[in-house]
Amino acid sequence: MKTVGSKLRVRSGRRLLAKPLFLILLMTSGIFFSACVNNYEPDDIAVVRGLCFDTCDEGIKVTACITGGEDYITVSAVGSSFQAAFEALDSAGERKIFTGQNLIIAISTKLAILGFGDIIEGYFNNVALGGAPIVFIVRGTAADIFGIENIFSADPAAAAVRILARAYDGGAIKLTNAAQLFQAQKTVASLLPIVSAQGELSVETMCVIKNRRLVCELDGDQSVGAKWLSGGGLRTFIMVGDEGVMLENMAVEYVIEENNCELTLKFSVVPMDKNDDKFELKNASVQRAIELVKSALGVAQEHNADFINFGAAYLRKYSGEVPNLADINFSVRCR
Amino acid sequence: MIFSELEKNKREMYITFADCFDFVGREFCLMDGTAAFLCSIDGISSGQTGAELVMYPLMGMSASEISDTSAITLKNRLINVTDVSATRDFPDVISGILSGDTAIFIDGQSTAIIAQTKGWAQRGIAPPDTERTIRGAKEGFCETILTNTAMIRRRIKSPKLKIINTKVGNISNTSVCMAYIEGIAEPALVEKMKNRLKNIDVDYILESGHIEQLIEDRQHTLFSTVSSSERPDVVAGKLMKGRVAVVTDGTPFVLTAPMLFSENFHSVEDYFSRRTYSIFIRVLRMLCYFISILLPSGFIALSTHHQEMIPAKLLGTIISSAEGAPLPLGVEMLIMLLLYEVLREAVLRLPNAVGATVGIVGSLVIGEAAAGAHLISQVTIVIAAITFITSAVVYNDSVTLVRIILLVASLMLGIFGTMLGIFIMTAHLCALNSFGTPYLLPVAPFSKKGITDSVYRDRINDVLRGGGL
Repeated sequence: MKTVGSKLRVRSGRRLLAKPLFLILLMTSGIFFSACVNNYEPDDIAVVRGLCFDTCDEGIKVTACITGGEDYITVSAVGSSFQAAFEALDSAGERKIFTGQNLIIAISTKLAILGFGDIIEGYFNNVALGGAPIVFIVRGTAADIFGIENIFSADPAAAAVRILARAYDGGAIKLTNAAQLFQAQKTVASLLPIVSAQGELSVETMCVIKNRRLVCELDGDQSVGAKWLSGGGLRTFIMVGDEGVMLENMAVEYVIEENNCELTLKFSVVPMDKNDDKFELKNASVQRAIELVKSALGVAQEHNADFINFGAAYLRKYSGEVPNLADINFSVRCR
Repeated sequence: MIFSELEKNKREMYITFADCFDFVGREFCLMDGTAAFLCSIDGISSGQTGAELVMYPLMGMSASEISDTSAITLKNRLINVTDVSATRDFPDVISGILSGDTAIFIDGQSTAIIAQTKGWAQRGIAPPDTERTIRGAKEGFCETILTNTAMIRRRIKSPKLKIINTKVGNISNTSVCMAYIEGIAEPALVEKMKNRLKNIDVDYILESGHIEQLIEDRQHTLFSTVSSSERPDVVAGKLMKGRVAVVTDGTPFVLTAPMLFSENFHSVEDYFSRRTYSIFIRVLRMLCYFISILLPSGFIALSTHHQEMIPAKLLGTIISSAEGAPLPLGVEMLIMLLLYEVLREAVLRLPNAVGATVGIVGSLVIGEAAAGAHLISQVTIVIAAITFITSAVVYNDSVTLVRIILLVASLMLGIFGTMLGIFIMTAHLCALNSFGTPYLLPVAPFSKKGITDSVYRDRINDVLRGGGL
């Protein structure tokens, strides 16, 4: 039963809501309370362009490539965890560390094998103000990539991104950013490029990440197959015999029946050299494509690492638990 | 009521105009010896007309010829005077005298004769200062209401152009003319304007700006809902599109209503140039308007709250520029915007020679010295300069305030503040009406007919046949 007091409260509430000023204040305070307002003067921030993570005696060593305008410097800090290392990095200088312009997250193979889940989670939960840096694995010490001289770009992180992008276009690697890793379920496997930083930055192949831990490295053929199956690109260059061929418009279709899965590969073949017998080259390319995909499927089954998007295709047809990849009979054909 | 005794009338007039040094009274005799009294205000009535065209012919008439109903006879005899009327009321006499007419009292008659002898020094027709064009007429309105209505009439030679005269201001008795074209302007709009002018109850009106604020739908808004122009061709064009114009005595600015927000982006020259070029210029004006109100707030929001949204190289430039400057970027920007307004105000108010000097010194101090001394960062100066240049393309009173409000909002809340400000501004604009017409008309509510000549320019034959809004 409503009392006189409650009626009065309702009326005064309605009157308040009718006031435009009150509504504006409500909206404004909403933004304040949601903590969406961070105000830093541009000369109070140290803009991070790249972050490298290595192992050390204390736990994690984080190295940041920082710019305060035109120059780039490298700053390192160590800690027992990502959070501790990053806090140490933040307090190393007088400026606030700003990761909104961060382009790359490089992780050493050693740390990747141990696992880097807390880095990705910590980055998004506590640090990131925006952007989605590309994640890759560095053979050896990750921080070495900031020491490589690049005559085309003063920014080492931007140079790394360019090299990775060039390797991705038509190459055998797939690019994955930190947001995709963060959003991906822990059980789903991901693919990350492996680079070496000996003298110059060069992209090698890819590795499989499962439970945010490096489980295996792929060879060249496996990388091409994995890129194809994971939907990581529309075109890839392969060698068919002695000839270079560009596979374009690459796609894959799954037909799943219980424990059987038929993969249909779709692609078009573009010869890189002048070839008289196109029919033969096409047939050879089909055989090679099946070979590449099967090699990648073999790795996926061996490590039960679903980087081939089988789980998603399975769940579109069946509900319930996705079976182990090792229990699935894959057959591959080309159209 | 006018007395039949001349002395009483004279006394009444002298009492009414006591301490008015420009009041002129002159006694004379008619041909039969009857005393008469002529009075006028010096400076607003033509002395030559009063003496030569009114007094001299009257001196050749006898009192019996001038009876109570002799206005028509007088008109015929005083042939050189445009209009002559007779009245029995003092207020009419006073009003006539104050408008520049000459009043004549004749002993023994309780009627006063009012002869139109208006004549005063006036500024010649000059090019409009506020709306310059490369192509088009070079004449602008002046301060004399009759000259202004004549300029409109010269462009629309039709009896359908109605010009209704009225007086506004209880003390100033300012002449105000309402002009519209019968058959094009909506009768409801004409009636609304008539009523609003009639309902003005103030002591004086000195400028059309006074009337503008008194007749608009909402006084508490930053945006003007009544348009004003110094150009007769603009007013004539708007009348042809169904607007109602208000010409006020003593000002070269003629009001037109209803006004739409899109009119801010129009120029009379749009209709004199090629269509494609006009559309391009119109779009450019819109762009400039939005840049001038959003650039400072957008810059501050991004550079102090959302640095991640700025391209890395640009952010590097901003950081380098901000280094060493003692004030926060937002405060710098606020100072720059206020300095600009101060400089504009100073240059406007000062005499031309001094104004130019102040302008040069001001821009040098702001541009060179402040940046050189690291008082203000160079990027802020560049942003402020772009803002000022773009605001000169589409200038109206609201731009400055909207820009500062958005800047303060972005200082507090970043891009959320800017968006909040834009949201509130848009909502407010949607709620505005100008004489019952939605202010954002061709856009909200959407009107296909309006879009053709509001956002972009229609084909010239469609425009001249009365297309668009």
